[in-house]
Amino acid sequence: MAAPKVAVVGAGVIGLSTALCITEACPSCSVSVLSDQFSPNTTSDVAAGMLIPHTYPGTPIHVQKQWFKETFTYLFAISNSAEAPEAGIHLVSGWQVFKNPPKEETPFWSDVVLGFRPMSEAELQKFPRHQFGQAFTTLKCDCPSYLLWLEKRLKATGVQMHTRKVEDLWDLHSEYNVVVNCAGIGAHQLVGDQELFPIRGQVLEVHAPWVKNFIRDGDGFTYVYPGIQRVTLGGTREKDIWSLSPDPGTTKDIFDRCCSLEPSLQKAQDVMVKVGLRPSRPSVRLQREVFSQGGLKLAVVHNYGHGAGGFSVHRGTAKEAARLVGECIAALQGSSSRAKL
Amino acid sequence: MRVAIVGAGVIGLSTALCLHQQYHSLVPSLELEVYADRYSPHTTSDGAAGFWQPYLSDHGNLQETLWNKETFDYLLGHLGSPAAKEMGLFLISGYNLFTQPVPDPPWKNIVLGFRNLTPKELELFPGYSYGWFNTALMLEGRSYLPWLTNKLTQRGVKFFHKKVESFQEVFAQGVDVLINCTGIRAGELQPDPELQPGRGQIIKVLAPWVKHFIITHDIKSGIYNSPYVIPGSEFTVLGGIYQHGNWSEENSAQDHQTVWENCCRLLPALQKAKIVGEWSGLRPARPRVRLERETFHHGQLQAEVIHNYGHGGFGITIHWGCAMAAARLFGSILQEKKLPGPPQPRL
Repeated sequence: MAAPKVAVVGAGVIGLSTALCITEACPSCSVSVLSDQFSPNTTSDVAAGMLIPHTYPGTPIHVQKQWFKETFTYLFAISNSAEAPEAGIHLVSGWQVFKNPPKEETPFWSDVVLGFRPMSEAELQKFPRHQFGQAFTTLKCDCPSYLLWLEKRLKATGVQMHTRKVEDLWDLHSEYNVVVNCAGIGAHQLVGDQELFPIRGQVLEVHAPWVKNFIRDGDGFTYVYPGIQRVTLGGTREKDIWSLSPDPGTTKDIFDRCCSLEPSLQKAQDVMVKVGLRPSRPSVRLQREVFSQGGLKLAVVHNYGHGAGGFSVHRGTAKEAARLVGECIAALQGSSSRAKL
Repeated sequence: MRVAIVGAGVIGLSTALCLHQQYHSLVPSLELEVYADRYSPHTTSDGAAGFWQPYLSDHGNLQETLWNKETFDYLLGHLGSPAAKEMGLFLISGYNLFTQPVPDPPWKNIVLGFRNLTPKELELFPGYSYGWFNTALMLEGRSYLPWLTNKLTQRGVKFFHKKVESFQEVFAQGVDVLINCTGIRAGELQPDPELQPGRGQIIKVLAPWVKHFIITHDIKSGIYNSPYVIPGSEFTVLGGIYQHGNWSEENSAQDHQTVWENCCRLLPALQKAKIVGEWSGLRPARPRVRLERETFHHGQLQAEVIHNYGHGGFGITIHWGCAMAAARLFGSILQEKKLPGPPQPRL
């Protein structure tokens, strides 16, 4: 087979990182990214990009831990290099606080992040409504910067980006050998996945440059994440809500909850409101599939459904998806050489 | 009773505020006046990054450790208040790095969450094999000094733009107590060979992705002569110069190179940071802080001086503890003068 042609559908963090991993694993492949949206209009652009994993009930923990570890290691190296500001990657320390003791004192990722330990009594005094807490250092991706940086690296290796709405993966069968489905919440329509549903999240981005530490309520609803230029305040987790319009009542509620965690936020300036739909699923769909119609076949690799944990596991799942693409190509080359006999 | 505070850096202004808070209701005749030839943003305190951290060892000077603790606890108490932002006060976490194991510092239980660095964390800093992580405070002089000035103005404290040439000239005007917070130039009012400049030079950069302080230590070259990075609310301070005995307030190109190269080696991401300023200042270094009374006799009258200077590179770190100690010394002066108590009924 001449240079295998691979189309990656979706240009959020999953699509772009998967495309990059494919170029790394398969230098002879011709890779294109197709998406109706690119940064700054993807779901990823709304995410705070904190490396604190979401637990998928349907995926074995050791697999999730491997994905997180690969992602953390990859970004850790970037954060420590001259590329860090452009890639938007930086270390941040802080606290996860609980009003009630958490189900597990040490989560599966506690030895991947840095310096994980329970908070001291003195530290907890800053959070009078919370009884228990964990202190650690992790990484944050400034999402729009990171996506732009990924796009730049992709273009440098010759990857083409096409603004195009793909209505049906089969439409691509004549142009591409393998299609990688990184459509995120778009997979609901694209492949009719009934297990995929949105969890709507509204966040505020404010100017509060004196906030240097993150604070997260262990219930997952309230968080203060300092980014490079702005601090992300969150949030909401609204299951099955599809609206992308900011809700003013929610804005006030988020602001109040965050101010109760970090009173100095009362003086924050320049509030911007964003909404994203977490592409949620009991487990990430990371698998091969073969579409066939009328004797013709299309190799598909799915890599979507990362829900609240996209940034935390993106590199790990991208590498696995690239490996699956390699398997597809090997299978195609095997069958095409058989066809020649 | 007229009290003159000479010096309007962090020591002068905080001592003035502490005095007023404690005594204005007890001493109705109390009049506070601040005299200085340099005000914010032209004081040594304005150039400092504003990072709370004492030196690594207190050389058995427990008193200074207590003053440091008092300051930290006082500031921590203000963190949740609406004034915090205006004061330039916020929490910050970060790293102290060493090339060999060192004993824990006397302030390990003052700061929050003090612990040793893990091997993985040390991977971030090649060349350093040991270190600490903790959460401490920033108190930016550029905000704190104006905040103190506002508080003092609200309380009716008067400010004078004037270079005081001698204690006598102030007493001759009828001032009863002089608080000497003149920092590095205290020697001009009264020779003090123990007071020497610890010259520092810093580069200000825009590097908002840096969220941690990083202080390296080279036991051989001494405090502040090893690179440090301190992120502030508007810009990040790069430093690592301590020149004992150097009085120059001019920026040196060689020191600029030293700071820039060392900090970029420490944090490669800084190579992309935009330089927005440079500053040199003289840390008022002394083997110990001079915080004591001195009585002067002029003519029939007795005048008192409270010295409060020589805080080296830890002025912000220790300021409130010293202000409280100065206030106690003032209290003993009042005691001796047997000032009238509440008004007596007329007979």
